[in-house]
Amino acid sequence: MKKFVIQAMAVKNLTRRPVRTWSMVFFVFMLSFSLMLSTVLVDSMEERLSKTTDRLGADIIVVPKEYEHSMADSLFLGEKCNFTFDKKWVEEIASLEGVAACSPQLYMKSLAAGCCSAEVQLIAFDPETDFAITAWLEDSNIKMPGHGEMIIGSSIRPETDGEVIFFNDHYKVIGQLETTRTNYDTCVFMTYETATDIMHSEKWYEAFRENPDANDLVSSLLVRTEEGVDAKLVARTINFRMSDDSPLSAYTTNGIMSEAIESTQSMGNYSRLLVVLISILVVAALLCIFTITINERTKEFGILASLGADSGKLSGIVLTEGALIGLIGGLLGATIGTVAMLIFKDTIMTVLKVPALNTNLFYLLTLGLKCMLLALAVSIAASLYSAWKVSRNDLDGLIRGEEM
Amino acid sequence: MLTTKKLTKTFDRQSRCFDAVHEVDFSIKAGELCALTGPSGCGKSTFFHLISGITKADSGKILFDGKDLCELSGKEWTQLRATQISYVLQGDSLLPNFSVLENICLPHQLCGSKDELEKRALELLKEFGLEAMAEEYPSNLSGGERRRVALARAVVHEPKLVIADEPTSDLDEENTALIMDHFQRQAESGKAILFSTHDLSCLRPGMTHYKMKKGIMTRV
Repeated sequence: MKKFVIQAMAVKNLTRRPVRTWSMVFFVFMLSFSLMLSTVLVDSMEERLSKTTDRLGADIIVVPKEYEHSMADSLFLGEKCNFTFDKKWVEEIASLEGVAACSPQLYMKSLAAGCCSAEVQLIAFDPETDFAITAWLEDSNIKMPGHGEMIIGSSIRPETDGEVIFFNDHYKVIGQLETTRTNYDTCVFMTYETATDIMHSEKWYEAFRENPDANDLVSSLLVRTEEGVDAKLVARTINFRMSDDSPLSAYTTNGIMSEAIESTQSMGNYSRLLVVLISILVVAALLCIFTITINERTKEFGILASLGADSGKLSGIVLTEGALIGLIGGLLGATIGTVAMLIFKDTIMTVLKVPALNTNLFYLLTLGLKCMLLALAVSIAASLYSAWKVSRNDLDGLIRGEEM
Repeated sequence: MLTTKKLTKTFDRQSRCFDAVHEVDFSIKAGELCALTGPSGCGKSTFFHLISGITKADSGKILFDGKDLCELSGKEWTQLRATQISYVLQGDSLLPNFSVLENICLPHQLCGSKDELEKRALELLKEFGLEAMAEEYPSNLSGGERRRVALARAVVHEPKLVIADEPTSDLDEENTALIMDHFQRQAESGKAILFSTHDLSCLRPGMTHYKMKKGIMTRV
């Protein structure tokens, strides 16, 4: 019992002043909750950005002119696209100096209609030249898809096991990729052969009034540069040394994502600034409340001092009260933040227009613990001044109830 | 037990120095019940603050069981107040957020006294006729009841000397008698009791009586 007297007294002081206590807890809760939410948002964006560029596996990406934004939106935000350019350019780019390998990809959109399992991004690749998707398949121990076979992203849930339907035709699913928390989790992969079948289907014609040959089309060309060669220089070469009528634009992987990188960076900066400002606000608010109430409690501390409580014990009571407020507010903020993130993930993503939200439980719990510790530190910091004043004030003044 | 020799405390008020306590020679023995009377502002509370270490004396000596208390550090004074010299503040001195029982026990436990104070506290509450009030909060108590709780708190840890600053002020005859009876019993059990009062009806045969006027104390 003796050990816990300070804690017991602090708890009693807090429970007997519920309005003051819950007001202070609310400030700390706001800090913990906003820190939790903004960190999850920024972390999720940054993670998606870095995973997308890593997963792409290319140094340069070539897309039709004026479609670079669509490409970036497709990669980062998961928006479906279906732009194309003529395959004849592939050979010209492959022959340029500094280019080690290049592989075309073709993007198609399925329809949100009964003819298709789901409205998803269909990506066709060339197994002969591919260096991106092949590597993922190897990592997931999935064999290369053959004619009429498909690989699905981790978020795709086919209605019939092992089968998907696109434009009224059935395709065999031979594997599902692991979760990457990128746009690729909602994509379906196939070879150009299968893409040709899709584009030649009756339903495709019904929808788009044409049956192009997939083998003549490229949506993006992934380029890997030779070792030691600057990707920016090669991208510049593609943009300026090719014939004037070239309909293409080449970007380094980071270059095409530059807008997304900038937005994520500024979002991160705003978020950090916001957390700093909220921390200052919370410290100031708690400091005011602590100082005012400590002044009202001078006599109380004087009584304890007259009974033999030393300054350490008196400041211990104030600090414990601060710590308890920080702990309760921090815990509430982190818990409600975690639960809200898990329950309202989709709503948050839609309302805030963010492409991804990391709701991995271990990540949320670790982050929650960090938020709680920060809230605790902020609350203790705010109570330090009052604790110091209580311990420094002369006993005579305390007993007389003089303002500290 | 406690002796003061030429104890002096000077205050500076409006650029004018005056002795709130002037060369006071005082003595109290174990088992002695001692009353200090005098008008308001005569220096009674200052004297009590000096001998309980709340205020530092400017000159003179305070001897407690032969030891010069003026030499003690703040920490040693704190320890002394927690164990041997109990001081009952003037007016309402209960902690508003704690129940009667907690008011008696928790401050002492905070200062490191033993845990079994509760049993003794309940005995004291019974002695004061407050056993039914143990879980009540000070706001539900009358003025007389609050004073009795404060006194119970002052003696629960068995100090050698109890100093009470005007413990009967604003109390009716019945409550005053209750407190004086309690003091008498505490003195009979070997404690030294020193209290201040304006009310001369508090004085009883066998009590030592000191008078104070303008900082100067005289034995009556």
